[in-house]
This record gives sequence, C-alpha cells and structure tokens, in this order.
Amino acid sequence: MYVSQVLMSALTNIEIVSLLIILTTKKFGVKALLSVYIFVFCEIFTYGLSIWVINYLYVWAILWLAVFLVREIDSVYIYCIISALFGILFGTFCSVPYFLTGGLSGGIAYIISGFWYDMLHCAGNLISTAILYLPLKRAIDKLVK
Amino acid sequence: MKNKKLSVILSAILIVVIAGFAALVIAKKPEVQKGGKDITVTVVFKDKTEKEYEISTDAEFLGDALLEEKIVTEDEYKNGNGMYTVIAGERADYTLDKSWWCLTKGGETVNVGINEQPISDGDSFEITNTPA
Repeated sequence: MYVSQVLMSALTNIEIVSLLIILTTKKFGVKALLSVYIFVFCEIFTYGLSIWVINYLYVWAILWLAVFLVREIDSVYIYCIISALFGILFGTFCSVPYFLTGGLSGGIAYIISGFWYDMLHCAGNLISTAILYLPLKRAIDKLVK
Repeated sequence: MKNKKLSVILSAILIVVIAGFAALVIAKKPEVQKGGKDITVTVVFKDKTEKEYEISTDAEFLGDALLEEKIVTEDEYKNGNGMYTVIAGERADYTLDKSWWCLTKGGETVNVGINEQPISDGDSFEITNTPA
C-alpha cells in the first residue's frame, strides 16, 4: 500500500490503496487492519505530523469496515461501487477536523473546495478497481491459500 | 438476488451522493459583480505582521486584482491552478516551508481559491501565512 502510494503520489488523488485494502480485507478480514495501520504509520513517518494525520487514523478504517461487512460477497461491481463511494466521500470523511476547528462554514468550505478532487478520486477508484480487482485477487489467492 | 439488490442500493447511493455534491457546489458558487469596486486585502505574514492593501479595481476575481497590484507574481497567476506560494514577496510553499496561504473573506473561510474568488465592492479579504 505504502509503495503504491509513494510511486503514484504525483497523480493527484489517484491511488490503488483503496483497492489493496478491499482485497486484503476480503482475504484476511480483521487482520487486514494491521496492514492498513502499518500503511498509515509509514505515511506519517514519511510526510510528518500535520492535521492530515488525524484523518488518516480513521479514514482508511472506514473503507476496511465497509468491505469487512460485505466480504463474503464476490462481486467486482459491488467493490467498484464501494471504492467509488469511498473516493467521492473521502473529502467529507476528512473534513471532521475542519468542522471542529472552523465550525460549520469551515467544514463545508473544505468539502466544497475539494469536490473536483473527490470526483477524480471517485473515478480513479472506480476504474482501478474495475480493471485490477480480478487479476490482483487471483494473484493473492494463488499466493495465499 | 441479494447481490443484485445490494448493487442497486449502492449504485443509487453513489448517484445521490454525486448529485448532492454537485447541487451543493452550484448552490454555494459565489456570484460575480461587474464594474469598479473598492476592496481591502490584508496579508498576514509568517511573523504575524500585517500589511493592508486598499485596492480599486474593475477585476471580477481576486486573483486578477492581486495581479494588478503585483501582490502575486504573473508566473504563478498564469499557471492557472490558483495555488500561490508567493504573496507580497513572502513564500509559503507547503513542500518547502510546511506552510500555505489561507484565504478568508471577512474572517470566514471561503469555498474557492484566489483565482476563482469573485469580488464585490466593500469586500475584505485576508491572506494568511498558515503553518501546516
């Protein structure tokens, strides 16, 4: 997750971390949370402490939880939609500290100003999951029986 | 059958969320005022000192007004993304300085960047060097 994020960091809001969380959660269930938080702490170690750290402590766990609840389902379409929903709501999920520090107007301004980035995130997640879900799932199933 | 039902529900939620966001962005879009305007721009520097600019302009957007007054550089204005690292000669580059320029209007957070922020007569803006 960490390596993919660093390699793709030049592409704003395009990532496969979401897809990797989906796949590892489906395969490993609760244990996937460990990889999620190893990723989070690698990010903190790389980019330093700032307000985004608060977001990262909970935002990826939201995706993990959503996938954990439906992990028995094996439908590319459903995971594409979950990934897309996570992408478009990422900014909203991350706006909590801004509501706390800037009030209602501050939080809403944060959400609105990030709208196009969230749309990009949504589209990126949808496309990457649609293309890579099955090949990566097969690879993981082969590697980990 | 269960998968199909869940697919439909999730798809509907995604469509509603996208439509909801689009409606919010459209509803919150600030209006443009044409003609001459007098505005105030206060730049708050890293050391907390302030410089106030009284600007008379026909510009519709704040970026244009700041460029007229040479508060922003033409290079950064032209790159079009509205992200400025140098305001009134002081740099606040997130990657280098771990700080950024925060735009507010009358002390309130705004929804758009400097280049997209419309201006009206009597508006007061603050651009603050903010640590990350």
